Amino acid sequence: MHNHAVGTPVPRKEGAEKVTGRAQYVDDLHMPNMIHGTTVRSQIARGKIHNITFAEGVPWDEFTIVTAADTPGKNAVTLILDDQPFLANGIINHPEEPVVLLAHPDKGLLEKARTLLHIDIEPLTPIFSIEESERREQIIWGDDNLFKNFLIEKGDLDSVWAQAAYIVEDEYRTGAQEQLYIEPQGMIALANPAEGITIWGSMQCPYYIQKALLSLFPLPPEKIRIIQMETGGGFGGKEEYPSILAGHAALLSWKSGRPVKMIYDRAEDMSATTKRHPSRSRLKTAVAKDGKLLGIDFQFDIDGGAYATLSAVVLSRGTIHACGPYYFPNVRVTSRAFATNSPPHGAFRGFGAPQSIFAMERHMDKIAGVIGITPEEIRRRNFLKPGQTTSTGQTVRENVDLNQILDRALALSDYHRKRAEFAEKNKGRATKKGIGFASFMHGAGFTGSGERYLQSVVAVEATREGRVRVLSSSTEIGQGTNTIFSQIAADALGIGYDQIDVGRPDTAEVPNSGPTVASRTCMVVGKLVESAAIGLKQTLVNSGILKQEYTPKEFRQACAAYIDKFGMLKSTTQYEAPPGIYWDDEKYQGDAYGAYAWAVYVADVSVDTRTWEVQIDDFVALQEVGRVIHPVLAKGQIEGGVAQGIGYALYEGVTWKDGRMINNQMTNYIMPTSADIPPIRVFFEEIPYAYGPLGAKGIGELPMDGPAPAILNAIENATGASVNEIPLLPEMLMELVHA
Amino acid sequence: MRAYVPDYELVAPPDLRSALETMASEPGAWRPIAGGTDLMVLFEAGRLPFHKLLSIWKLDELRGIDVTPESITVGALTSYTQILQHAILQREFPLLTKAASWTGGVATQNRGTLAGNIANASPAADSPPALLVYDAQLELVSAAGSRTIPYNGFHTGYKRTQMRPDELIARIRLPRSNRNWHHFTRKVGTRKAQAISKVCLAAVAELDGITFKEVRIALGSVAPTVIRCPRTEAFLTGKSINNETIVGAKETIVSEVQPITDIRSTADYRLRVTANVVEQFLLWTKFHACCGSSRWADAMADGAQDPWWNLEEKDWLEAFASHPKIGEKPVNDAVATQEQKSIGGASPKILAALAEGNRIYFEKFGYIYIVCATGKSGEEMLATLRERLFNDPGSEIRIAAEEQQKITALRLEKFSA
Amino acid sequence: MPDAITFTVNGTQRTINDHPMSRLLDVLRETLSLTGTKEGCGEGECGACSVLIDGELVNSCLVPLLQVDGAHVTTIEGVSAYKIQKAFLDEGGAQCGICTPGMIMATVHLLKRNPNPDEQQIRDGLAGNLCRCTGYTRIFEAVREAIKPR
Repeated sequence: MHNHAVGTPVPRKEGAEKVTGRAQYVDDLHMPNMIHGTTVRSQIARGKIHNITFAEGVPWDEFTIVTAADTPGKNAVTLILDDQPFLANGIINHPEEPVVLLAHPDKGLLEKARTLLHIDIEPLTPIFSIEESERREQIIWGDDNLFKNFLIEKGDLDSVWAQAAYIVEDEYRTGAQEQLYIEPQGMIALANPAEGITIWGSMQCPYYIQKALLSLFPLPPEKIRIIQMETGGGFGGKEEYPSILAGHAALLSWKSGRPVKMIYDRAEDMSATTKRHPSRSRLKTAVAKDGKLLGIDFQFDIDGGAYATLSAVVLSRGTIHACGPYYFPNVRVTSRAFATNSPPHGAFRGFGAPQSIFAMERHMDKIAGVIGITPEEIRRRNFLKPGQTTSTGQTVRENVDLNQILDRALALSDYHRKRAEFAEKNKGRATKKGIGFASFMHGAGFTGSGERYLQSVVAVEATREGRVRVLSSSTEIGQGTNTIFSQIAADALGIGYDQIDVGRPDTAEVPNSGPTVASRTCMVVGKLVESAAIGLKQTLVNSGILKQEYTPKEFRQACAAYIDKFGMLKSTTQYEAPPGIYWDDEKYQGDAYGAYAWAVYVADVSVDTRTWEVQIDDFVALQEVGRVIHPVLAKGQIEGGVAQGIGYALYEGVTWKDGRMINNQMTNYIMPTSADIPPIRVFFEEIPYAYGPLGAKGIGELPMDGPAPAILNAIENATGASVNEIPLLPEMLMELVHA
Repeated sequence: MRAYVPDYELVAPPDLRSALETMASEPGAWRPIAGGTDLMVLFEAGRLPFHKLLSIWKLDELRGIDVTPESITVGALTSYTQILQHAILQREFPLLTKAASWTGGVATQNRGTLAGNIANASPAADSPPALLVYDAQLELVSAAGSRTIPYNGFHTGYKRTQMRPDELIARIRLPRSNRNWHHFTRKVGTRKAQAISKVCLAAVAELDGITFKEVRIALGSVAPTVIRCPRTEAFLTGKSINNETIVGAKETIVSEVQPITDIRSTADYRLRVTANVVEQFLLWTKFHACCGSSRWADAMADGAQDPWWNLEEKDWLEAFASHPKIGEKPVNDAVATQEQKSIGGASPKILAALAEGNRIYFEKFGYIYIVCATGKSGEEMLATLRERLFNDPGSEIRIAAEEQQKITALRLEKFSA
Repeated sequence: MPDAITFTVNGTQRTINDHPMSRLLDVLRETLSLTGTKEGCGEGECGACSVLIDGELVNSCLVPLLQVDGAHVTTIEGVSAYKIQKAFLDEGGAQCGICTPGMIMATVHLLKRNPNPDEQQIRDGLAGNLCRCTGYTRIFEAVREAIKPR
């Protein structure tokens, strides 16, 4: 096997289109006879719909109008619990809940019409917090407001409190965060009973959309075709939400008989679509005199909003990651996902892990402070070692040395020298400097049996000219799917990177490789690409048309010969779980993930105590990732994730009023600009993972976990202020210090 | 995009006269639109209450920056980019050019106009505090004629101004002076760029040593309009900058502001930060009187012990440039006059040699000859100058920096006494 | 009905009969089918809609059509930026690509004003263009690469 493309910075596969403005995003597409669609939404959080009135001011007879009554099939979005309607059916459960859809050829008039349609709602009492939900004075979902709960137990936690030299207890909170992809959500639908449905749109998971439309419309899967357009960022925000938008566009098209385009503007996208789940973590840890962690009681609660969406899975990941890269002989993690009357929360890079890891990493620094040792020392005494088990009882099988990773991160960031210097130099200064770190791990792929359940398929097909097409439903959303698949296939086949094409994710053309989520695209689907490519090669070799060792030219000739003889050259592979992975869904125990990536992030901050503004002066991100497939893309992933983590920690606060996001404009929802982002220095280590393509693990979500706790640990080092909540805006830091 | 475009009317008058005639013919009906960086945002959010818009963007009569010995007159349609690139504005009205560089990003700066910033009348606008401390005047024009009013007082309430519905801002006049002002500004926003301010302070001070001869302070985002702070200004006038003064100034400024809690920040934060930034201004000014390097003064105000050698050459050069030449009569600089008094007895021949030596030195090194003059005679300083002329630039700048440090140390000591 | 507006787009003169209050962004994307310029926010914050008007960088979502009468507009489709575009490709400056046209326009403008910007000038020059994917680091690398002499 030649190794020319993997590991080298080949040009991004679709890069030329992107830098010249030729890449086609959904809003760039026009169709003959196309009309525009919009959504009329509830302005209040909870109530009963009494009336819909159409005020004067637009020619209503020109409009296509769709309500819940117009759904041909089941008015429920197929996801996990199918509790969310496409359109509210008499009951409102959150602000911005969609009630009526409108379509018209004139986009401007459509917007005017939207403001002239009034929905009369008799209010019911809403709830907006985890606390209100768990009090259960108002039941807004199911019997008990609980979407899901988990329990992880290990050892005998109740016995450790008596033996503990120290018991450290505290509560940590994280706020909602908006994905803020720069391309808003959008779909075009062409739907009619005779021909079926075609959807073009901005999305991460074409097959999720297909599945959602299957129950909404009385059509078989072959008649529901989903095509991904170039997608301007997703980060999880386009994992499940696009199914709703696609359903809406399809409903309007179904009724009007014309193609319908629906593009959200920024204000609607921010207030109506999903966000990261807010969380509350209550940790109680038993620590021995020598600093060894004896046990942890971790209560992890998240706010899921009004419908279940993916809360169960977010909760799962947060639960499993809660205990961090440390050895705890005794564990109890109780986790719950609660319903509130906010717009449903959903997937966002990290998916529960940033929330629980924030709590754990802040707590570790706290423990260190209580027992009088350094943040570094508390980690060293408790890092997981090969052979030890995680909270779910998974044995660490790879040769990871967290102490060495920590050593390297601290050296790269000049941690010890800076810590000493800052302590000295901060005296009498208005601007205080501090340095802090977070150590963490992130499991790639679906949890436990999830990958097995997905049964992902990838195909690789050759043309007569010897070009090879990779066919998978994994979408390019900026992370580099097209590029790494091409690299992997090229090296597996021993041909040039330029000989590979990646088929557009179009359900009529590509098999279901599972969703583009969970950091699985490289590690899981990339491995399938590798296998399918090897399968293609084997087919050629086994047929006798190609020798075992060959040149790219011979490969091309062999493709032509094979196709002339047999008509088609295609190799398909389906996922098989790696051997030795055991997961018990009932007890929530066992091997939660095939592989973990391990990391230490270090933040160097300045805090201006006159204004309580925090500036990050240097950031080191060191991670072990199995194998770096593309050095520039990998760095790009980490840097982008760190930037989002910095936003999560210091800038991105959602301002809620009666359950609505009221700072739903880019001028008031503060994302870091190029002037705010520090130098981000990225470094990799590689312990190859046997079941990843060329040893690669997943890295997409990993960088989201580290920045927030590292930064808050640094702020504590700088000012002594111990903050347990993010986003930490200057107003809050000021209040805490002056309290 | 939440506006229904056909509901709006936008016309472009060919010249200023027809623009003013249109506005006079239907007072209040036509809203002028320049670069659109405020009005178009409202328009797209579906919140623009004006449906008849008069584009004044092409009216070149309202452009241009006119410089006379007495004043600089900035045309209404001057963009932030044009302001921040103007060399004389940078030198003499740095708070205005700083504010222009803080407004939005480059694209906003290319389209946003100074008059637009004023007419939009937001208390959070970036340029107004600087205009207030520079005692700007506005020339307003209408079909009936023109009038010039002080900018201070132009804003009468939240988003309300003294402008009549048929008037346009034509020019903003900034009076020049050769007084030795110290200029300080700080904008506290939600992030480093493209941020609406939570607190914005602009201040200029004229000192005698470290005693205020005149001080002007303006604040944005802490009241329904941008404001001058007359009570704090009165409190500080005639006082020396010391701990007691700082405490008193903080108490006074807090009494002059009415911050609110809104989507961007809290009243409490704005209040505390206003006081802290005033303190920062006072400390900075005290240090800036000792050494003309702005970043040195920043670091000292922050509490640094001895930041001089951590600075860059450009900071040293800034400090050097704040001194009058040795042997030249310092203008409006009582401190320099005092420091150079030992030259007082020098003969005209020595003074002439010093002037010539200064010229040669400046030609070689690009900055003026810096020497700690206290206690030295004209002959001594001339001899040292002639020696140092032989140095290479790398060594000489360090020597000059050492001399500057001596000057600074003496001033610090003197002002602490 | 107001008079038609005539302006030059990427070197070609166009006469447009759209409403004078139409956003230049919409005229470019819808009427002229130049879809390289993107809408990310409609409020002048993200810079995805950046174009050059008479050589100056502006957010086209904030420019009413009437005001480009007689002007020269350059979009990503017509800008001469090969070296910058290549640098973005080589250094990973584009991930999802939606901010990229605007980012390239802003870089063209920055380097025209200042062919050799330092770190801070690069950051300030691009501060009006938001990128959610890259964290800006690769973009800065791309600009540094683009200013190197050939």
